[in-house]
Amino acid sequence: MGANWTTASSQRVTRSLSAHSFIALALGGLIYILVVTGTLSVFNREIQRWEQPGAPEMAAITPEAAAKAAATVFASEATPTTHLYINFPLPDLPRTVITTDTQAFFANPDGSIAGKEHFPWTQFLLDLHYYLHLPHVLGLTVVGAMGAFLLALSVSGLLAHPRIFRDAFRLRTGEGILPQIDLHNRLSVWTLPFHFSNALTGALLGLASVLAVAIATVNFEGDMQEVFAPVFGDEPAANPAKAELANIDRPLKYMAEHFAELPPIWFILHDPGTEGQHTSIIAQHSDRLIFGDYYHFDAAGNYQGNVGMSDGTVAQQVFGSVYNVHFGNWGGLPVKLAYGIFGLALCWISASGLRIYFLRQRQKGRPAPKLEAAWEAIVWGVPWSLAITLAAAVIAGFEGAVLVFSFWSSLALQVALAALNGNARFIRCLLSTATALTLVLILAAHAWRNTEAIGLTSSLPVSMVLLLTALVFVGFGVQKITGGHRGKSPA
Amino acid sequence: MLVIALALTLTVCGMWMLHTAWRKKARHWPLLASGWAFIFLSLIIWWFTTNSDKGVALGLVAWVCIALIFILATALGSTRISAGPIKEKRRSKAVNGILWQHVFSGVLIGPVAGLAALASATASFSLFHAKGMEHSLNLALATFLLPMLWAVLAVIIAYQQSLWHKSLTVLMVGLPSLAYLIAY
Repeated sequence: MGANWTTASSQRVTRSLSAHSFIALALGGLIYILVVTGTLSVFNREIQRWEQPGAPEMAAITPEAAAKAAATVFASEATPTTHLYINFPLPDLPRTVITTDTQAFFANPDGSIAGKEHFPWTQFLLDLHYYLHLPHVLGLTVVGAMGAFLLALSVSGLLAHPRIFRDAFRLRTGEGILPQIDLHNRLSVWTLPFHFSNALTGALLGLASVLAVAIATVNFEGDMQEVFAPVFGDEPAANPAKAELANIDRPLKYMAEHFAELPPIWFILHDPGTEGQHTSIIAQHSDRLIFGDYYHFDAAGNYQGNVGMSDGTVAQQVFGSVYNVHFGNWGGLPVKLAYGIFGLALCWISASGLRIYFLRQRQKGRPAPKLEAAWEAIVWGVPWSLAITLAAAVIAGFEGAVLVFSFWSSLALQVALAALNGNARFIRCLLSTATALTLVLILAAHAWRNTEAIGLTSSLPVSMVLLLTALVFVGFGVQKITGGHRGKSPA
Repeated sequence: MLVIALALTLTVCGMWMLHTAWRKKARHWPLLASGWAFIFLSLIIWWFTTNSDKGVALGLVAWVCIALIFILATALGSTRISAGPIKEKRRSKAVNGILWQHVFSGVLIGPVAGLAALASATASFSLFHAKGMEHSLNLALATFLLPMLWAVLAVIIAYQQSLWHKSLTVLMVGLPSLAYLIAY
């Protein structure tokens, strides 16, 4: 009986490990790209500030000044916009931005317009994380699927780990495969609440569109509004007849008077300048996980009620929390830093997982040096490709499609060359050193282009982190040269 | 502030107890139980630091951070091992013949399992919609069901060795849902 149970357990572990390896081998590359870009995306507001350090910053803006800025931008529109937004200053992004369908401008504290908002690399990074640069619905679905597969990796990893409690703190350090396995397992188990919730919320965000289409088709004759309206609120019928621009400062004043503890983060004027225009203000509930709640006003600025993300059904509140739980922007800088550390741990878990697989294959007499080198090219090539695109944006002012092409083509080239070379250790050394040098170049170019902003809080922290990252990557490169890992790949 | 300090102290104490229990050669149930109880209690106390949802989330973040510190301390305290030469076995039998099986499994895990999960989530929504369940709760159930079912299907399919079993698993989940949706 005991022997049978042990054999069954051993079979379960072997087959779970095989399932774990299969999913990781098939999709590890895409998942790794999403994990790296997700970790960086936690700090997207800080990176936005760094990209444009000279923009006007403020802790708050008066309703009158915000209204003046919004009206100015609306008047400058060549074609009527369907939505007019005011993005209010936040602690990690203390800037007021007026956005329409086609343009975005910074506002000064007095309501005058300061200049165009322009953060091409942050936009590139977010597009990579949200859509993998694919068409939006397809991209979201693929990214959501990767979230589901990351969940599958968590589940199969747990099933393949029979001594989860007995090994809870076992961590051998040094060289070879055992320390890598220990660290992979310990980080995976102890950061499980983070990577499980992040994979799940990522999958929810990504797969929501395709599920909504299916539900709408089956239940509501294709009307998507019917699916989401009971959760996120209904959109009143449009009336395109021309009208005076709605009162902007009155709803803001109402919020300040009646909901003083709920700072507005976004103001949205739907169908501005038409008879059907109406306002939504998204106000932050700083003691909650939700991103905020919608407070609706009519064109004259009369309060119509809130949607209920904060006090509606439990499911509404859960939906309202998904985005913040995924991106870690619900607890200020300490939570962001914690998410950054957990994200780095997940990067390491992803990278080491396949590294362990290739080492095991070598031990089994089935070495795959070309695949191993290609995997190292993904692990170290993703940071370098991101650095190349950042350099292209900062030094040459490139944006959009050029950055997308630079990233994917450079990564594909690195992987192809690494597979041809077949020496994983050399690839690691080369790419980590190249990343460090590119980061130093970026820092020099950024300092040269933004001399007046070098010491500003909008610029200094990110620059310091980039410098530290460059040093760490130099360290990785040197470690590889001096023999940090003796299991040299057979070339 | 005092409540946060208390919650943090309980988390550290809980982790210390788990770590101490782990260091003992024989399993020490009282220490293990106390460790988990302290961590659970700390989450309840985090609940009161702000609103319930954010409080517990903060508690989980703090717990994982403290766990990572314990892992770091363990790593610093452990003796380094050297790699030694990798003992490579003789090249084993070629496995090229199973490539198409991997491709088939990949198709089952990816698009086919995804469609089966989508059909199930949509069928679940439609079923409860017809029964009059509150809309947002119904939508939340379906939204959570889709990725979790896809993940579970992916694990089961990758776990199974027979292609028949793999296919049967997807069909057993997808077909009844699809049939229900067609009849709906």
